[in-house]
Amino acid sequence: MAASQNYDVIVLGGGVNGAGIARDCARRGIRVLLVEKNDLAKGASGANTGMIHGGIRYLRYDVHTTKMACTDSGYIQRIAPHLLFRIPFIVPVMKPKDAHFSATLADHLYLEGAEIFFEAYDEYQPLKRGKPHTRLSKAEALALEPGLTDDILGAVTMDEWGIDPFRLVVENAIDAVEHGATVLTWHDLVGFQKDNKGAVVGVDVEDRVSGSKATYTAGVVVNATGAWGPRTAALAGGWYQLRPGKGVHIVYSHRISNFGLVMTGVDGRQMFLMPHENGSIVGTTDDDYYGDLDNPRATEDEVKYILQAARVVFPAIDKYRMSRTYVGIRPTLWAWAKNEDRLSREHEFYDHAPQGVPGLISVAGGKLASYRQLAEEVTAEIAQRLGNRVACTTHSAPLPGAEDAIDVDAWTKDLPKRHRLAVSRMAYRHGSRSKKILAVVDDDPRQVVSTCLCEPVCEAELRACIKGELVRRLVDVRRRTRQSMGACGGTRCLARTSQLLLEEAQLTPAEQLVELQGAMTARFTGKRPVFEGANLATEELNQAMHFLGANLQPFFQAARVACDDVAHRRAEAAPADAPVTRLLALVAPSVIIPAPLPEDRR
Amino acid sequence: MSAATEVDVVVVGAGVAGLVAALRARAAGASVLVLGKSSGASFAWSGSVDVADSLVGMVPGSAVAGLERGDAVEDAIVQTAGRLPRHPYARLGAARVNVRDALRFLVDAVPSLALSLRPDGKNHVLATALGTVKRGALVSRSQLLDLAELPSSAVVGVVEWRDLAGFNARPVSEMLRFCCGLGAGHRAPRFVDVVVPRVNGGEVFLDNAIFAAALDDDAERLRFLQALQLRLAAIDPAPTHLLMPAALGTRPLSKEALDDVDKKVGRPLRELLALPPSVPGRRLITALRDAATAAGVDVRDASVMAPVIEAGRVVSLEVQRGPERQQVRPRVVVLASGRFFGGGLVRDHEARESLFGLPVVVDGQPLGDRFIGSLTGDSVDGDHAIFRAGLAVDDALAPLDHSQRRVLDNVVCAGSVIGGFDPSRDGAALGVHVWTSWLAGSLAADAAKFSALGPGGQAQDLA
Repeated sequence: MAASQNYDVIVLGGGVNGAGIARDCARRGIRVLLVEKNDLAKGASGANTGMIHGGIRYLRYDVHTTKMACTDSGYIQRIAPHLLFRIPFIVPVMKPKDAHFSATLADHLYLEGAEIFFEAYDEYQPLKRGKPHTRLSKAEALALEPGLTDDILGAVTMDEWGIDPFRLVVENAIDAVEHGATVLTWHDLVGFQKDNKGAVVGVDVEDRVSGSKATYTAGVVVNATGAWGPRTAALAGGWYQLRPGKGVHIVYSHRISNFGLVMTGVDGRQMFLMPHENGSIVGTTDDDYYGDLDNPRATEDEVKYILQAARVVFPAIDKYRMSRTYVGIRPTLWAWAKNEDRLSREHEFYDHAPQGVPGLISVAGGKLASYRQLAEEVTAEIAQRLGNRVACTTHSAPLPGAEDAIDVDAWTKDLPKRHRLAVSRMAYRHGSRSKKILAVVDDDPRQVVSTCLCEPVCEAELRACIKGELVRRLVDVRRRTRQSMGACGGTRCLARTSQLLLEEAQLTPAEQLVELQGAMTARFTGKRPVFEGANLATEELNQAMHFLGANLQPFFQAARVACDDVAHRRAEAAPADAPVTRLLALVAPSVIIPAPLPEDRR
Repeated sequence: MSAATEVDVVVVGAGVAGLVAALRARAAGASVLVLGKSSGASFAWSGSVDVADSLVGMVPGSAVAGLERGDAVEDAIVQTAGRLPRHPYARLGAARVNVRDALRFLVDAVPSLALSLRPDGKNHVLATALGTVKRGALVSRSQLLDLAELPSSAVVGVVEWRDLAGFNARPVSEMLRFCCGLGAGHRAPRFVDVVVPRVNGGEVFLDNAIFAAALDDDAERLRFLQALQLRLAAIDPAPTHLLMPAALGTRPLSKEALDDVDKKVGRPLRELLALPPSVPGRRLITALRDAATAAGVDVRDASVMAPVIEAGRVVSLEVQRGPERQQVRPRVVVLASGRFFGGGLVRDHEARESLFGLPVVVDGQPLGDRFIGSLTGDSVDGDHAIFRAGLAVDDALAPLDHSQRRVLDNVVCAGSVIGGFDPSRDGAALGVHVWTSWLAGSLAADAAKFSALGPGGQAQDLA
């Protein structure tokens, strides 16, 4: 019999908003269940520019978003100082070009104009501990950033904050769990439970890994499924619209500039080239997206669009090695007859009660930098409905790892030099919790050695994440640790990490192979649009290592057959009255198909 | 600048293909200069020379058993040619009879590796570092443990050293159990884990290459073998054979040394096929370079650039090593520069061969600036045309343009710079490299002799 458990609230979607709401609820003592059909931070929450920036871009037409983003950015710094890093920007003020090229910020606000604009932004900087702007002469700008084009009048600086967006989501979810929440990743929403008045009172879910089904009930269900939101609501009979926007970034294997640079696309859009974590990222695009939400793909022409813009401010860009792309679909608020770039980044909530679906609230829009604010607003609504009067603490209570400060230099000074970088990167991700992770090295010194050499990530961190950070699949590991996200894109570390998964998560060899195939394919998809130069050479090595040296291809297929067999046997062994168990869908992503509307729908 | 050097054969590329071509050309009497920046894809060599595989593409467990070895390699070559019409085995059909000679040439060139073929002409069935199994025609002595030949009573111990990072026995033994157990027809051996406690204090070995360097020392090797022997006493059932990561020294072990290893641990101890950075690859390249140098081949770590072409012939090349630059005037050039990993091909918006700018072909079409989406499959293990890309060649291994005309008269191609095959998918990899290089070396030596008699061979003012 399928399990049935009661919660106060069920949150659908394990992105930054869902995880933030779950954390806020859990911290107020609200019994909360989070259901995610993939991994945490799988969608736009992980595939963004990785900044909790103030949204200067919106200053011209969406001041409220800028102010809110700056305020919440300040709070995020307080609760997760270990995850933050400063990214100073240089905004080059280009020489005036033809009139039709003057559509954006840097182009049509010449030096004085730019200054006035940044003075306006300076007002919001203290909210996020940002520094006010500085005006740079052309010589100063070129001295600071030698890669900059000399086709500039001067430049203006801008101060922003970078963050590991995956860790932000995961640590919100872990904090929720530590305060009593339940988090189910890799669970499909297959339907809603309704009472006889049509109110949503729970959800039916199915574990995509094991195939087991369950029903959970709650007084309120929050739909925080991002770009999937309208489909999720439709499954309950609710309705709203988004303008989903596809955003593509290119990742470089190392830092190619000292500062973040603001650049302009052929269509006048503003984009960034910036140092981020151990590499550099360039992007993003923003195009209306009508494709498969589960399989968005960056394409070579999108890469060319971005590079064309980057070349204008940073002419040497073509000399550097692109290592991969990533793509996300923004759940942007709907509006008719507006260019993608001008769509509001604000968030809205929809109560579906007027549509005859009480008990369901949908969250739309939002941005990484204001997720906490969004979560607080939703949780306040939930708390009011539940009569809960506990105050919100998410702006002051530290996220996991931020409980204590950690002096990384002092802590790592006795380590051999070659391991220090990996361990200090771990300290960046896990903050004060790193010490416990590294303690295993006393017994087994092998675990201090980096498994992923590019980022780098040590084995102890990988094992700890598999055991304690809501990891269920191999592809989940990279979102906790950045394993396989460096220069080589998972050439040497993925097979090894799949072995760690076998050991720590008790996988069978067949499951290990299916996981490896899936994770390698996920990396391959990101690398494919930038198969050029050294990156293509690395993929040739990757292919030779796995399919020539390790002969994995036939065994990938054999493993898939074996896993399907297991699922068949499980289904056959089930008693006749048990719910039908679907076959293991380990590789093929599933799509939520909207249920047909009932005939008697009001 | 020093005066230009005149050489019969300049080999561009110092990987396996370049060195085999050089040895062959030298054996035919030519003066040979090898120029290369790296040792190419030997970095990733598993230790198995894959020549052809009649079972390639079949799924173990359904179509075949995990331990099946397939038809004789020579038959598999013919099958490969039939299955893949653009494969060098098909395109150079007449020369196919030389594969056996080419392999014999390799075996004789590097006697220290003791590369061996099976007497029945079929493939070996070998264990990889991930615990999968793989078929290969030639394998060196220290890696030769044919899983399909073991008696059903065999117990294979997978050795994990707690001094060596990045390798645990359990995932490998479990994978071997899974892969060897697929399908009917063979009784798979049993696999057990042998975890050897720390021998050294302090830091561990970071990878196989560093561990192998430590094991080069006889006394050090003895310490580790004794620790293994001690541990084996506690393993039940007692292993009859042992497999460990490919790290038994950076140099090939002599027969006596390997016998001694076996005696110390009381049973055969062999190496798994390797993952990069490959110790067996380093052994092979070192042995080939030593053989080439001993034969009088000039092998230099240098870059090649600025080719001068006159009347369809390469008349000079510039060689750069550090700050030094030198002109070389070759009679014949063997192009053994590999593909993307070796540096022979580049794709930067547009694809080209990197030294002469020769056109790159994929599946009979120009690669040019085609979009990557049409050249790659959707999954990592799918079909990727881009990894079959290379130069089109005629029967004399001379590069062709898109109209099937010879581009350069005195260039002979060798190894993976020749397109039409995917080493990672066709069941034929290093065997094709060795065979085409052997052919190229022979053709180059002949052409150099011919050109020495003609006008191009007359003494010229080289200053």
